[in-house]
Formats: sequence, structure tokens, C-alpha cells
Amino acid sequence: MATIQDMGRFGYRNKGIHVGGVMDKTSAFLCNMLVANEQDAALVEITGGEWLTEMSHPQLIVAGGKGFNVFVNDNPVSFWQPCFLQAGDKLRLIPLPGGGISYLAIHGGIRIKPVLNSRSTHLGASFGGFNGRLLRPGDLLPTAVLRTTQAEKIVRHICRPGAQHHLRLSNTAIPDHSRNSVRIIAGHEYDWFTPAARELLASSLFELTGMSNRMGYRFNGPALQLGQHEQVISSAVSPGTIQVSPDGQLLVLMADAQTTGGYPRIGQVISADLPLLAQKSAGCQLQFRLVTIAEAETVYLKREEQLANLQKDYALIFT
Amino acid sequence: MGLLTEVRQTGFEGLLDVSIAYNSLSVFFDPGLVSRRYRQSPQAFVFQWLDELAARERVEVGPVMGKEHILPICYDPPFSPDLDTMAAFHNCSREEIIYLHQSQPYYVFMVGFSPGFPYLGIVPERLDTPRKATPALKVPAGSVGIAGRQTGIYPFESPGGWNIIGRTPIRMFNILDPDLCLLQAGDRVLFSPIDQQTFNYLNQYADT
Repeated sequence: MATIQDMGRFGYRNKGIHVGGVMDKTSAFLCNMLVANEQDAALVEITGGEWLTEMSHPQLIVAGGKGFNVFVNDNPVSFWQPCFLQAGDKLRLIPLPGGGISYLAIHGGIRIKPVLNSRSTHLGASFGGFNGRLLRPGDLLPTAVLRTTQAEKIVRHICRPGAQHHLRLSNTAIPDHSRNSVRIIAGHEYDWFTPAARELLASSLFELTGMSNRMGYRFNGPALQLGQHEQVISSAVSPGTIQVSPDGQLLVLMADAQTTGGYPRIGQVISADLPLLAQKSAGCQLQFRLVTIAEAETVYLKREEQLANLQKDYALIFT
Repeated sequence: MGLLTEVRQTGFEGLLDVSIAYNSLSVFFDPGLVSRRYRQSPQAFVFQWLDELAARERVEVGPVMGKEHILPICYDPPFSPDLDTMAAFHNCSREEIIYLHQSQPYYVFMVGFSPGFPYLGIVPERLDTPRKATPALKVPAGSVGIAGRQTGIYPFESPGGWNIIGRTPIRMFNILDPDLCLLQAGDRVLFSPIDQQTFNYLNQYADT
């Protein structure tokens, strides 16, 4: 399954239109960075199945994320390694057991027409992205033909004659998806749950089920009981919101989540850990660790600063 | 709703979206932008900003009154899969539920869940029905449901837990319409029963 996504569609919540956009913002940011794109350039998000593209023009391109092997004309290339492909070159991504989401960024981005200020695909209402639908064999993705000076420098670096000039993200900058603890802050209805339920949330392992998609990830674990039986009045939910269904199980809302919900919200996954969670697959055992809003903010701002510094350093290589 | 306009007009750098629901207003912002621009904890800044906004003097207004709509609805099977269960639950006939549902206009409290989905109320107490224990995996587009004392319309085929008692042939969402959604918070809706033939004639979902 593959769709066109960018950083999301903002400002339409009161029309019932979710933000959407990429599931793993960190990987998408890094891929765009590696091919000298703006942060909000549209890219291809691949969540499963095999991918094969043939280039119709020379393109600066990179794949990153998790869970796929990448080949150019049957030669393996690494994730996070920008490549300059020629017309006729074939790029193939083969899924690995264990799953994951990967991104394909092309310099200049996928140049489809934005709908409501975004190129993200709204699958539910069939608009945005590539005609509002999943990509399928035969689709021709519009891309930019001209390169920016920065992209030109990257291409020259990769194509220097003589030695191999592999350019690749350093190991320390590659996102680590191995951690099995996800940080959360208390949700709006956190106090509605029994002390025993709150204790279980903090101390138990929850298993990600196969009933998981771009809308939400469903978990199996101990049933969490509500202490008081008030009805929740429908109000805003967003990616990261942890809802507890009537049977006491957790549902973490993801990128394509509905805009309002009526189930009690026990927690909210911190924004900085959403990419980590997005990259988990069915069968994975996770722990949720409660942190303060202050801590969530610090982590978020620090990560953003690290990414901004990385982007600066990357630009410096070519000057 | 007045507050919503005020929040949008005042704004701050990094504000991404504001939304309202029945009794809440939610503000979405980019913590990085807020932190860089205002040089303080994004959460502290937004709370302070909201406090200042709330402290402003304002004239109390009643409920906002928008447009009036008459929406055709067909209560016949197969458009009303949960009508019999609801009748059994309330110990009354299908006809009584239908009569009560279309007997009064409803206020659009908000649009949310999916694009164009209106939350309408308040449903007569006699029809107060809890959500289904197991949500249906596929609710067809145009389906009209009841949950508690709300009634709503599914603009797209989606999973859903509301009790489906009828279907409207009128589209709730159109990406080509400048308003996007047929119904806006503040509008009023009256359901007008039609038969299946009329439904088929009016059906705007046929080509989607």
C-alpha cells in the first residue's frame, strides 16, 4: 500500500477533515532533507507490498524509514543514501518480515496539485494526493525537472568520477526504532479511571494487534476499568490520543484519525514518540511511560533542534 | 462559536487550527514555532494567551442561527438495519420511532468525526439509545443514525457505532463546494420522509 503524503492539512478540523500526512515525521523529514527538499514536500509513503518505479527523467532520490530493502537496477543500496538515477533506471523496494513504513523522496517533491493547502491523500473522502486514492501500477507521478543549486551540488558529489562517493546519513542520525517504551502524558479523562487501571497502564505490556492502520493502532492488554460511568461528550481527538473502548482496550489514534471522538481519553502519546510508535508492527509488546507536559515539551524541542542542526551540517558538506 | 471566530482573528504565530465541539474549544499549535517566536514554554504561552482572551469583555450571544435545511430521508429497509432492534429496545413500533425522529427540527451542534458529519440534536428522550456494543464495520454513505440523544449522518462509508434508522440521498460533503460541507454548526435540519423510488431519483451518492 502506498500513498502520497506531506506534513498534513491544517485548519479544517471544524469541517471534520483530519490533518493526515506522513505517519513517521522524522523519517519523512530526513528523506526530504537528503534530497534538498523543503520540509513540506510531498513524498511517497509505502506501508506494505513491493514497490517498483521506472524513472522517466534523471532524478535525485532517497528511500528511508523502516522495513524495506532497496535496489537500483537489482543492485542493493542503503536506506538514507541519496542516489542520482537516470531515465530508465528501476528502483525497487522489497518489504522485510517485521514490517515498517518507508518513504521515497524525490528532489522537488511529488508535484501533484494541492487540495486545501496540502498534497496528503484523504482516503476516506477520496481527495488530495493522487486522485484521492492509493497508488497503483501504471500511475505516472509528476515531478520537478529543474534542480536547485543545493541539489545540483549533491548530484555532483555523488557522481564525481573515480572512487565511490556514497553519501549516507551517519549512524548516529539514523532514527532508532528499537525502543519498546512510548512516552505519554495524561489524557483528558485520565482521572476517570480506577487507580488499579492507571497502575495497569503504567506497569503492563500492551501488544499491538493486526487491526491497525493509518487511522489507529489497536492494542491487546489488561482491560482498563472506568471508575465513574459518565458519558463522554464528543470532543476533539488528534493523532496520539489514546482512547479506551468499552471493552477496556487501548486504541491509539494515528495520522488519519477522526477529528472528534466519544470514548474516554486515558492518555496522549507525546509528539516526539509518534514516529517510533508508527514504526511498530503487529505482535510488538509496548510499554507506556507517563511523563509531564514539561518533559514532553523539552523532548520535542530538543529533537526539533537536533534535526535543524543536522540539516545545517548537511548543507555545509557541499559548500 | 463567537469565541472560535475571536481565537482565529486574534491568533498567534504557530497557531495551526482551532476547533469547537459541544462544550469545548481545542487549540492546536506548533510548539517549535511558538518556542522560537515567544521564547518561553509553548504550553505556558498558549495557556496565558487563552486566559487573556477569556478575560476580555464580550457580549453574551445566544445560539448562532444559520441556514435551515429540509433533508429527504428514506426509512425503508434496507436503509434502516437497526430500526427493528431500536423498536424492540424501546418497546414500540418502527412507525413510532420514524414519526418521532422526523417530528422536530434539529440544531447542528458541530461537524466532526469525518468530513461533513453533522452532530444533530436534541433527539426526543423517547429515542435515547446507546451506541451499538459492537460497531458495524461498514456503514453506507448517507446513513442516518442515533447515538444517545444525538442524530447524525455518515457522509462516507465508514465503520460506525450509531444505530442506523434511515438514509438520505443528499451529499454531506463536496470538495468542489467552497463551503465543503452542506451543514455548518448553527444550521437547523428537518427530516422529510421519502419512499425508495424518490430516494433513487434524488440519490447523489449513485456516482460516487
